[in-house]
Amino acid sequence: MSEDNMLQEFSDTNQIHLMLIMDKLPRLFGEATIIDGVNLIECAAYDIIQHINHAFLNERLAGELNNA
Amino acid sequence: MHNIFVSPDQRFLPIMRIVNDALHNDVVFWTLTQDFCEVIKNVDLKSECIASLIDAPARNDATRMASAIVSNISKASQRNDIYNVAKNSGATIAVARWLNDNLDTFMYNSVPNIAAIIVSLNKIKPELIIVHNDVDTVMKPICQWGRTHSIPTLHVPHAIYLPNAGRGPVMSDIHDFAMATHVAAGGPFQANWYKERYDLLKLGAQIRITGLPQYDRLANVHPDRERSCKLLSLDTRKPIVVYFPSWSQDTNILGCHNGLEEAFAAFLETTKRLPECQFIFSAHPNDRNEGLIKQRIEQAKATGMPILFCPGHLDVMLSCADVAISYGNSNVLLEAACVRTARLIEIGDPPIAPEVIALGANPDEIEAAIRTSLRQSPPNYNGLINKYLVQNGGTATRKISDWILSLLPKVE
Repeated sequence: MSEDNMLQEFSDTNQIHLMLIMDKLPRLFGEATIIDGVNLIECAAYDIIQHINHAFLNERLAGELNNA
Repeated sequence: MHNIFVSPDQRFLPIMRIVNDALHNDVVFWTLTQDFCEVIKNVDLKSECIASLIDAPARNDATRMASAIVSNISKASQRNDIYNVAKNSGATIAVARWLNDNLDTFMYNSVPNIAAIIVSLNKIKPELIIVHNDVDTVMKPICQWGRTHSIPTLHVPHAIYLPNAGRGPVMSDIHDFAMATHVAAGGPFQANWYKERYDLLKLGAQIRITGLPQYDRLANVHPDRERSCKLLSLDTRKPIVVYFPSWSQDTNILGCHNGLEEAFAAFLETTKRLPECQFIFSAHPNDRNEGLIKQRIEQAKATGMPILFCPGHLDVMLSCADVAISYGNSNVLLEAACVRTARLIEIGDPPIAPEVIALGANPDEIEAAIRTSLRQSPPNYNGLINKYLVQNGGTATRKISDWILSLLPKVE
């Protein structure tokens, strides 16, 4: 995979993850994860995104190793 | 008595001093950590740590709220709701599985703290909130609470997010999700950066170009090469090249490839080709990865070249640098431009301005760029400075303080 393609893939993936945390999951939980107007899922996004990126990377690396 | 919340950031001390004096000492600055609270008190300002408000009933309140939230997430997990939403959103199986199986325990680490902060803010009822960022897991809830309660929340950014291939396009990085109601921008570039994001988020915010306080010290700087060389035990007659390696953020693509390591290896290889130069490398102030820093020191030693490692003393380094090289578009390039002694080179990103030489992580290119730079005087950086730092007149602290005073409710 070329460097440009790799960057594009990570970028697309990051966008999927961000929409998931900042939009889809808050909608799934609704009021269940909100305290006094503060949405706990959105607020934890900074930490969650790092773990999701690692999960994604580990999956990619495992796939590449299996294909090697 | 006025109550203002400030996040722990040394840049805010001069601002607090001006605000305090204008308010005739009638203000308490609430903050997050006991350490920063002591720092504020040490400059004779009134300060309280919000933790002082977390007594047993408040802790019970916070724990009860946190438990309810985590329990709600656990129930969704047991129904596989989280997995299904993630898969339908385009996430891979590993990501969907991780979220479904771990989100409740993961949230259990942060939710009690956030709940405690919310309980404290409700007790303090600050008239104004001042933060150095509005996206991390502690600052974002504070800003969201402020927005919900119509409390002005002023973001004085700790950095300018420069065009960066690792960060990706707009709305592909967590830093794009701004939350504060007011933003003090360094210059037109940063003001536009935030305007674009707030528009996409459909959030209202007042963005004002004030400059940033961390650049005030460089407004009328008089670099003293001789003194700096003496402090760093360098020879004034030999060229000096400083390398700034940046740091890895796992929130975006930058944390998902080894560009930093490749560029550092290319820099080290270059040092062997230019024995007539003196080389220094620094550490990013946010990089607390001691293992990586030790590894870099060992790599530098292995070259056999006398490369100096200098993790601090930025202004001293910039005062004697003939060439400053950064990995990616770092804010250190702006600081170096303000000092005006060095030619600027960056590795791995598109250039932030025509005055900056942009390269790949390639020793041949870096060597050639250093040689070319050493034959030329530094360019006029006014265009670059005006774009990012409103001429850097050294007045950001004053302008932000005045803005803060105008945001406080008038006392009759």
